[in-house]
Amino acid sequence: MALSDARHAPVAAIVALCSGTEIAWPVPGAGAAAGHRPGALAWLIMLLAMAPLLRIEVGLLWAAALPRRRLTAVAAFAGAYAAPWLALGFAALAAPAPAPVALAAGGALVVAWSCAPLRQHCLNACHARPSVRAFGPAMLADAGRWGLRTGALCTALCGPAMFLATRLPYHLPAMAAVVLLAAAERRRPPRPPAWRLPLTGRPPLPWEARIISPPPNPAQT
Amino acid sequence: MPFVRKEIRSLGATWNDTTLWYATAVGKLKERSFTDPTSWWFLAAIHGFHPVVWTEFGFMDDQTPMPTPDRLALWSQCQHQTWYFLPWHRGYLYAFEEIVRSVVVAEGGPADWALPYWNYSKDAAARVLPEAFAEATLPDGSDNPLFVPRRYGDGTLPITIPPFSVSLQALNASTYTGGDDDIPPGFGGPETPFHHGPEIQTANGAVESLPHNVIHGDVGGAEPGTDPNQWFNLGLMSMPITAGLDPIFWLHHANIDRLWTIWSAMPGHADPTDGDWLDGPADRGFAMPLSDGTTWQFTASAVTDTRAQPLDYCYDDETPPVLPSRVATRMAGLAGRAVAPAGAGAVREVEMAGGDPELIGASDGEVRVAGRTRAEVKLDEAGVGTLRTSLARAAAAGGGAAEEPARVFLKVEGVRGTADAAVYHVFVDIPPNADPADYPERLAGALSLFGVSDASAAGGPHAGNGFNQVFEISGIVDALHLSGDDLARLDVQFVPSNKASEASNFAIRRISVFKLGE
Repeated sequence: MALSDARHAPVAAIVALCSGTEIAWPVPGAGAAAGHRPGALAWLIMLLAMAPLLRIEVGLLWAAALPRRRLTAVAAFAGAYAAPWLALGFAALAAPAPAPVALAAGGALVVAWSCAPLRQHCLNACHARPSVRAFGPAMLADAGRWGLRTGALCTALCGPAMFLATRLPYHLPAMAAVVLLAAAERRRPPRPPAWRLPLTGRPPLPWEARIISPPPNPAQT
Repeated sequence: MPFVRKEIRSLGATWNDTTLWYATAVGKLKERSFTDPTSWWFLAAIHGFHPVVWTEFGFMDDQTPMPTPDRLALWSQCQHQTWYFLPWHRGYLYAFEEIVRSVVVAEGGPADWALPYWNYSKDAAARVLPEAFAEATLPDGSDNPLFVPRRYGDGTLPITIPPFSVSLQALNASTYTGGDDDIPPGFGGPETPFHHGPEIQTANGAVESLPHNVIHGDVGGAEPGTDPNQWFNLGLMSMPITAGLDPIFWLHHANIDRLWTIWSAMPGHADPTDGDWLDGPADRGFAMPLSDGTTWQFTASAVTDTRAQPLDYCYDDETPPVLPSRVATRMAGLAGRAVAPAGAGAVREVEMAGGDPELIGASDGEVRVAGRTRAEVKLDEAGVGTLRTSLARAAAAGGGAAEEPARVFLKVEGVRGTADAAVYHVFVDIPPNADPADYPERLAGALSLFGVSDASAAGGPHAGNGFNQVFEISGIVDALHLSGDDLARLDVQFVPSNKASEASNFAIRRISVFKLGE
């Protein structure tokens, strides 16, 4: 199946996600990104390729759940995790192919975001472990909330680069590169937010990683 | 002939030669510069350091010269909540002792000087801080380098360790390495790399919990009348970033090191044979300065035998204490007897039998502890059902069961806060307003918050997730079962172990109950 009408992209994406059929990228303008054919299948493959990155969270959730509710907990987590990515995927499929200038500008923005302190905040937040209750609907809510939070953080961290990758020639290798970058970043310990290139900079010294303020001056209180 | 580390009170008078030479050497080391790897300051910073805290406590200022980056890499190596806790501290202690001995010899002291240890578990008198560390002056009237003003205990003098804090129950741990999900915690702690970030288990091993962590808090404490939740009110021993600055730190750790020696020699016990431990950590080596200016790189395998080179030391008392067997005591309890039934020693432990821990209960989310605090843990009927069957089978066997019934563990997950000196006792199922002292059989263990500030720092290696503490409560659950309790829920109470801990507070992500075995 090949749908080239941008208006039908969401429908095509759903069909493709269900059937595993790769669809053609909608190209509304002649010449813009011509020849690039990323689709819903590529997005789905990307999402599955990201799954191993969740090994830590799923392992923690598995251990934290009652045995008879482990699968349910993981399903709630995974479903919620996928939601932000699917939303971005639908947006990516629906959006028109950008002009080269817009592509370049988007690339600059992605690079800037990759170096931003706020992004390091998000990376640090990925390491946080929320409390997951064990009983009743609260367990589903907590597992789902954790999945949604993790998915939202991942989408914020890697979504822009992934979005851009879909618009590049050889988009599958580009998307794979983003996945590898994400995996490498995920393995790094938290560090104080600062402007820096991804995967660069020495690890923080222990005393740099813990911010301690001097005690209040009694004369000023 | 190896160097012999001796119990400090067995050496005689307060100012015996060994202790006096230690004081002299500490004084000399304090005269050395921060940039000198053999200085008191450098050696303490290898355990932990923070410029804001050290400045506030008067150990440095803006003008203090700092070591070069390659030497700075030796600082803040300390290993906690990891299976490297014991080998790293053994190497650390060895390097410290070697440097101190070189100073002792240079000052005209004995060539066989060895670091004494503080055996606070010996008897009631031994729980008092050794007098040489509490006196402000040396016999000649000069300042005593072993005296530390920022050492508060529970606010009363002399500093005396509470009886439960010197428990040696850790020696009953069957395995060195912690199990899956920290169940059981193991004698030495969980398997981790050097940098054990938030994704890795972060539970204290048995000996690290008790007596190690608890003694840190009991000795360091917080300044009386101040807020124990503020770092600037804490004693040096209360925080990993300052603990090495207190001369008693080294005698405390010598005793912990001695307990490892004792544990390893006990029947059925063995250090890990895993290459990841013996040759690890792979992600970063351990390194210590020596008196000749070189740096000693070592792995765990280099320190398993204290009598071998380069360590070459032993303790004057490596005799295992007489402890009631955990399994035998338990089987006797289930059989309704006061003493272990015949043949109980042959009962196969669940720990040895293997199996995955299984969650059977949890608190309803987060718990905030501030002073004496109760928390309810709901138990799952399905999990409790199999537990009841297991306990009933063992009880029916009248102590003749071939295998230990399922074990039960209370896991306090994600302990976060800033009150590093606090020590809480954790009781299970005692009446709300009862005096906990009347229920010693319901005491699950002691929870020390030593290191909690570091573990709670959002940008730190724990990503603010805190640490875990595991208590075995099999005996308590056995008793509840035999009393007819339906085990639908457990009432957990956190009781400050002393007055200094009453004003402290902390958060717990969840309290869980795990079952191990069938």
